[in-house]
Amino acid sequence: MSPNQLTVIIPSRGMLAILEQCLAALGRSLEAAGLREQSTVAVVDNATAPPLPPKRIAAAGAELLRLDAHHSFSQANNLAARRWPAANYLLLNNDVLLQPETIAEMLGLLERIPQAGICGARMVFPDGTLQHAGVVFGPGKQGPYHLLRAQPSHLMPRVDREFQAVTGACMLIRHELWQELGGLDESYPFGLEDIDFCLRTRQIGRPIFCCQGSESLHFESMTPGRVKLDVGSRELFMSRWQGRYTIDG
Amino acid sequence: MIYYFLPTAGIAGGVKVGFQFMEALITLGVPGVVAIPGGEAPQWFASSVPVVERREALERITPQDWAVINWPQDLDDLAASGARLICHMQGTPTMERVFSHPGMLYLTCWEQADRHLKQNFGRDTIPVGISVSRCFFGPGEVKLDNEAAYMPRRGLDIATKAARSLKRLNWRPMDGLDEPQVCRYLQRAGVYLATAMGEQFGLPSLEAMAAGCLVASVPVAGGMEYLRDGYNCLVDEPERLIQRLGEMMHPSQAGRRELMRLRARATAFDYHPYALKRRLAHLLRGPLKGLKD
Repeated sequence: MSPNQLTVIIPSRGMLAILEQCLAALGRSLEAAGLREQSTVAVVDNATAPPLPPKRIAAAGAELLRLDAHHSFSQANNLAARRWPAANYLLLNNDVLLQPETIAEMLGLLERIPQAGICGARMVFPDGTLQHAGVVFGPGKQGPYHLLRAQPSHLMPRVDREFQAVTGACMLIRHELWQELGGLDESYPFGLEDIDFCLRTRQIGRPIFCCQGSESLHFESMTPGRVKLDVGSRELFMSRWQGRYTIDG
Repeated sequence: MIYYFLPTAGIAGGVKVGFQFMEALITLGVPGVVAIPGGEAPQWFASSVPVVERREALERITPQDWAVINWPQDLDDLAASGARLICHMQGTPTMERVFSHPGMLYLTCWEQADRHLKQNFGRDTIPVGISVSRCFFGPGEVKLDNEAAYMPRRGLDIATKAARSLKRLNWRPMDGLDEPQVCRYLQRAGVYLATAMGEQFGLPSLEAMAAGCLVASVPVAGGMEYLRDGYNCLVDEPERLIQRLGEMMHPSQAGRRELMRLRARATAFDYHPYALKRRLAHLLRGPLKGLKD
């Protein structure tokens, strides 16, 4: 396995138009990192009706994994990682438009900090406010939340920083860590499986960073039914983790 | 990897000191976790250190790992784990069995702990120091010169006497509060009265100094290195301390009070988390190099 080999996993339930934009931006970012040839881009069609058109996915340079029954976000990612194993996995939401330099920055961080297990990326909403620049944990029922979410971007310094967690909307993970933890926990319906994965990562002593150099665009929660599924995930997450993470927010 | 074993996540200075030590090490690239029964993480102060269940840690730990002990009851389990052992010595409690254990690395938080180990047990030690949470250094609210905070858990009788004698001051007890609440109290208070005679972990006084309080303290065991009587605080036996505090609170002494508060803050900056991190970074290039293995 080449150390730069990368599998990008993009689960998608419909949303073809934004998915194509996501793939185009991803292509530019892979190109800029010099990884176009060493990468597999895997689109997991999570029971879209009608199915995502294979020709259009192939035209965008991606592989397609069709799931006829709806699977959780964790299952979709785990299936793709099993099918296209690589030295690193980039979990990417279909409503994220990467900046050209983002992937190179994220891989550069993992190379620079060998003990780092996961690297996330700074992202903004279409209005330029921060969507994600790292996840922190608040007391009681507050739980995990995006630091400075919806705040002006200039409030967050452009310095790569360690966090307890980063969002799975754009998360680079080393293969050996993925294997050691058995991928994402499949008991989460949709949401917070990424945070669960991060907390488990730090429990085995692997730090997590968020790259702050570039700002990609994240529309967030575009998938239909996402918010409803999120409620069950949150209940599960809090029942497992509340009182077991430290409070840094 | 370092496993720092603690008996509880409850409100105790030793818990916070342990977490702050681990926080600094982790940010310096040393992999580590805190192991606590039930995997319970402290919710009363800010930290980002990961917590694992104690039993799980004992199952996972290998001879390549480091196990940090600061609770004597942990000695048998940690010695049996085969891990390399560190004693993170915060005070001078009865830990004779730990101090007699061969092959232990001793890290000390205070000068008195360092002296105790060297003089009484002939142990080589590495002073690592402690830090005060960043929040105490913040600007906070407007300081009220006549507001006096104290912790009634130990030495309530001294605080009661002080309150009876010094009626000009508004006395605010701090008990069972989380760190942000303590921080707000101290940033507002002009005075902090430390009443725990012989205190092993002198953290509250140092936090009060960082928050710019005039600290009046009974003699303590842990922390006498930063408490400089008449310079940045008042230290004395209870009766005399109350009398001196009364004199210091006289309106004519406003300038002296202000100067003492400024000196206290200046002293506390030596215990800023960045100072601890810098010290540990230096030690990791030298005697603590092995922690990164």
